[in-house]
Amino acid sequence: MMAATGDTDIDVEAYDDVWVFVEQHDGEVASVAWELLTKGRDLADERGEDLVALVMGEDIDSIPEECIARGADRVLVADDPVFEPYRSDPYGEQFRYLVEERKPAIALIGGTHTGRDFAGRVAVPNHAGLTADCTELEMANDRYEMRRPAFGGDALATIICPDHRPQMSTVRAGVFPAAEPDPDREGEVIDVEVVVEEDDTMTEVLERDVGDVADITDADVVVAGGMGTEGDFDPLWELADALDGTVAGTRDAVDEAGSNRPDRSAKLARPSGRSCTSRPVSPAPSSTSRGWTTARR
Amino acid sequence: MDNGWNIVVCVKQVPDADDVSIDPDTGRLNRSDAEAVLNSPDYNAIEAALSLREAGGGTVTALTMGPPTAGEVLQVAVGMGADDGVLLTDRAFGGSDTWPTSLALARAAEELDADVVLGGEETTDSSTGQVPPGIAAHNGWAQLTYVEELEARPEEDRLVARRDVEGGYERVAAELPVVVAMGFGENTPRTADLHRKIYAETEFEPTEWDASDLGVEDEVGMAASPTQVGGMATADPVPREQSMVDSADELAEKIGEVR
Repeated sequence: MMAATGDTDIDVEAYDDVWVFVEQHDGEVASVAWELLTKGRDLADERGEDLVALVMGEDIDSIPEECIARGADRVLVADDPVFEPYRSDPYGEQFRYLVEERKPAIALIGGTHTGRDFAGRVAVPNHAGLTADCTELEMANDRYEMRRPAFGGDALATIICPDHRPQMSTVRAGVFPAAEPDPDREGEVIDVEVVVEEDDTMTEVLERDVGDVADITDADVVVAGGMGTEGDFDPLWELADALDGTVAGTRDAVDEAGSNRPDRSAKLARPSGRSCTSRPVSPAPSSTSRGWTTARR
Repeated sequence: MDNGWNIVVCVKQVPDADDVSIDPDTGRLNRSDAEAVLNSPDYNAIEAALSLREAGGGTVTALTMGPPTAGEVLQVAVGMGADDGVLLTDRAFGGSDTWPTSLALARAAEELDADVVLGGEETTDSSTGQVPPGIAAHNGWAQLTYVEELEARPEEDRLVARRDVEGGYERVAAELPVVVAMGFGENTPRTADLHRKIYAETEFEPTEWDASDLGVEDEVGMAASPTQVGGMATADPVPREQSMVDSADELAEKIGEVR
């Protein structure tokens, strides 16, 4: 695959439009993509540019229409078996090509595991600026300003990218609201040239098992327990019921509850090993807050 | 592959926990106030590297970039069992964001003829998780992030990872060379053997490379970094209150009042 080049003489004026990477798995779009289309629409309007949705996968049918209903002026579709399921190397190579061809000014990517895996890879070959876990994105002082929590949330850093394009940002699910789709909106769907072949890939997905457990990034309310629960998740379930929420816990706590409470072990133990992880507690990104796992009952 | 894989584990020295301040002039992290420690997710990467060596032979080389004092985190890795350590240190690296940082590490990994490069999921001081994919992209190598478990398949020249994906997992086989970001907390890092630890802290000397050794002197530092810190604002503290409640319903009600 293509290794990076370090071209720093970039004509930033040649770059236009706001792109949103629409993460999908088996036709199921990650909810954060809709949130980013809403945010991207605002940014594009303010910049007087178009909002472009980028969809990669196999047999993509209704997703482009929904992207338009949710604010996209154009949808770039890369439809090929090489893009299903997600792998960083074919996705990265295709994205590099599209950026070179079409020169977007801004690219928004969901801060999911897939989105972060993708963003970290694609920022390099285009020598793009990439800011992780943004909580505010705005046009201010005549430039695109990305803000993210720093130092465990005690400070908010403003990150700018004056001389490189695209300006890329990852955003966690739930940071921005998603607007209701407007089925009457009009837009253009473009099938782009696929530049990756299966023979060029370096990875093979042997097995994929998702959907057996609630994704806590989709939950509005999460009641989370740590080792202080000492294996007793009953109060958490009670509170979750009262709040119509989902129960989650740190891995160690869920493990302990699973072994100590055989009557509920099937509900609390991790289904098929590790389950989804996220940072439901705070938008401030930090390794120390990682390791939540969903408990089920 | 007669002698096993060349395994490189990237580690970073970070300020301990929340004990940091911000330089009011530059908006950058003032590292001098806080005690410098090994980034905690890197322990999982070191453990994974040592386990790979146990399964298939080879060598483990710890790699870091930072000021001369960053050699301390190489001592931690060597104490845990790494065979050797390389320190990338040069004033030219100062102010690098993740693009040049991953470039320098990528060139060093090439120099070390790496088959597998491991790193922690992210650092506690920057929390981007961008460096492992960046290393892979700079070298055009495969990448595996959010990894829970690794299985070496030297007979196929492949490494198989179980990855955490939202709502489940996937198993992915990658051709060598490959860059792995281990998920935080996915294994139990071993404690350093006492004799090894004494060796690491007294006799071990890391190899030192500067930017020109790697041929990246014009591609690192603040000038080569696409992103810049444009400002830093202190976040407003969230007002906090404390009270005792007797039931889940009562607590739910109180939460409802502030939501």
